[in-house]
Formats: sequence, C-alpha cells, structure tokens
Amino acid sequence: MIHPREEQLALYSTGDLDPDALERIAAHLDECLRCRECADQFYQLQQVLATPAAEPDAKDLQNVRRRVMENLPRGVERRWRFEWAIALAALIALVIFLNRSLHSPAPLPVVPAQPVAAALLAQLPSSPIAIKELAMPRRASPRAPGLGSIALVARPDREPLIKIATTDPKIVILLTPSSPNEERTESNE
Amino acid sequence: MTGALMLEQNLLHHWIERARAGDSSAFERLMLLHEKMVLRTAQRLLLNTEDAKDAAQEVFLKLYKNLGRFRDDGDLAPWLYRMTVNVCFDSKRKVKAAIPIDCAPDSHDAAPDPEKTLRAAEQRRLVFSAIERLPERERAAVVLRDIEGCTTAEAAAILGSSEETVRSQISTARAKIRKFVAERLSKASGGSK
Repeated sequence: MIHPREEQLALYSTGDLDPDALERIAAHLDECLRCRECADQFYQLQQVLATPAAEPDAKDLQNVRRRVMENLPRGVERRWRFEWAIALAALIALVIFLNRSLHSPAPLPVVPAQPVAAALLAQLPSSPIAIKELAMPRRASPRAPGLGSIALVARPDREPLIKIATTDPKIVILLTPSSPNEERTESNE
Repeated sequence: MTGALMLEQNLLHHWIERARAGDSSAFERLMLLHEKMVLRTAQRLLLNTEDAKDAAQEVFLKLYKNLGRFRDDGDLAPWLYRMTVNVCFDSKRKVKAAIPIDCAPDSHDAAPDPEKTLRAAEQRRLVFSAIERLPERERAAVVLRDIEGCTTAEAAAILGSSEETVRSQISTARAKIRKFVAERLSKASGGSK
C-alpha cells in the first residue's frame, strides 16, 4: 500500500489538490486507519484556524488611527497651500498694477509754444531786461518733446529774444517779441 | 455584484480620490474600513499587539504616501495585505522579543462546556505557538490562507509568489503545526497518566 505524503493530506483537508489526487486519497483513506487519523488532525487544525479570532481591541484600533492621523505627512496639503499662495500673490500684483494704471497722473498737455511766449512777452518790463530762465515742468512722456525751459535773451541794441528749450535737446525755439508769429526753429544738430 | 458592494466600491473610489487630493478626513474613512483587517493580520503575523500596532501604523502611513498609485479600487485590499506582510517581516527582523497576543477565539463562539472550552483553548494556544515557530514565508501563507480566508491564488498574489510555491508553503506549514500540536498533546496526556 502506498501512503500519501503528509503534505498531500494537509492539502486534502482543504481540497487544494487536483481532482484525480483528491479521488485517489479519498479511496486510500477508506482503507488506511493511520492516514485517516492524520487527515482528521488536519481537519481539526483547520477548524481551529478557521474559528474567528477575537477582533482587535477597539482601543488598539483607535490608538493606531490617532497615531496615523497625527503623523500624516502634510505634503499634499502643503502643495495646495503653496499653489494657493502663488495664485494669491499673482492676484495682488494684478490688482496693484491695474490700480496704478487707472490712477496714474495724466501726462501734461503739450502747451503750444506761441501762446506761452506771447503771455510771457506781455509781462516783460520795458527795459532793462535781465536774462531769466523759467523752470517749466517736464513732460512725462518721452515720445513727443515738451517744454523744457524758457529764457529771455537780452541783446544790445536789438530786441530781446525768447529762447524756448524743449525736452528734446535737439529742438530749440527762438522768438522775437515784435514778430511773435515769426518763429524759428533751430536745431542743435 | 450586490448593490451594497457597488455602493461600498463607489464610496471607496470617492474616498480614495478625496484622500489623494489631501482630504485627511477621507483618508480616515479609508482607515476605518480597513483597520481591523490590517491590525488583525499584523497580530497574527507578529503575535504581539504592540508590534502589530506599530506595523499597522506604518502600513497606513505607507498607504497615504502611495495613494496616487491606486487606479482600481480593487487593488487596495490586496495591497494592504501585501504591505502588512512586508512591514511585519521587517519588524520581525528588527525585534525578536514578543509578548504573546490573546489567541482566544471570539467570545461569541465559546463552547458552553467548560472542559471542552479548556481543551479547545489549549489546542488553540498550541496551534498559535506552532505558527510562531514557522519561517516567515510559511507563516504568512498560513495566516493569509487559513486565518484570513484568502484563496491560494490571492495569497500568492499578495506574497508575490506562484500558486505552486504558496501551496507548498501551506502544506509544509500545516504538517509542522500538526506535528507540533500532536507531540505536545501526547506529552501532556502521557504526563497526566
């Protein structure tokens, strides 16, 4: 009589064998008391192992949960906070930019040279005439030349000359009081 | 698939997504669903409640770090089993001293006959004492297959082994346990005579 190995009987107790092996061992157990006792012990072992063990204690579960929650890495939340911080900073920068754009002082209007010169000439004393230089605000925009300074140039035996400098150093306007409509534009170039 | 199971899987999917987005309360719900399974398995593998609690904590922290890898909700339980086994193996290598856990069966299933209860308790103590002496791979195979109720294929997938290997580990482990228990009971009955 060929006895099945103990490992085969161990698997037989839970049916973990192919059908042929199961049938062969079942037939053997009908005839062999020793193998049947061994197979019974494996059945008993399975009953012990399959008996539901007491579930973990509720306090132990709670303890594990608390420890896990306390030790959770905050990587994900940190990442979200970082992204929110970037978005908020961008929003603040946008608001500041728009605010400055809307409330920035308007560029000074380009004052026509001729009326200014005429008004100045009307206030001129008859004589003697000192050379004056009048500071004028400069235009904010560099694109179009604005008024730079106005100077009255006294000339012996001749009418004084009004010299109007612009913000562009290449452009200087010279006017004579007697002929205010006659303008001469000089170029420094 | 039953409606309850579908509902559970939908909730599971929902909580995984929310936990992945950084919602810690959703992660806590995932823990509540799986904590018994993880701690119970760790207790059976380590036979020590304090070590098992440490292992369970490590398993769930690893889960949090690896939430992004779960594409299918069905991957979660096998992954948790696998991680529990791995963490417990690592833990066993670090710590050898063990305080035995209570291996008593659930009190609801206790037999009314005191003598029978005593005999069953002794047999159970011997079985778990034998499990404690098994090599870790054999112990893991027995815990998953015979205590947790996984199929051989599931246990093989969790352990990263072939079914044939796991079947061999289970049969060897059962034979060792049977022999250990039989010898101890035989000695006890011989001594009492």
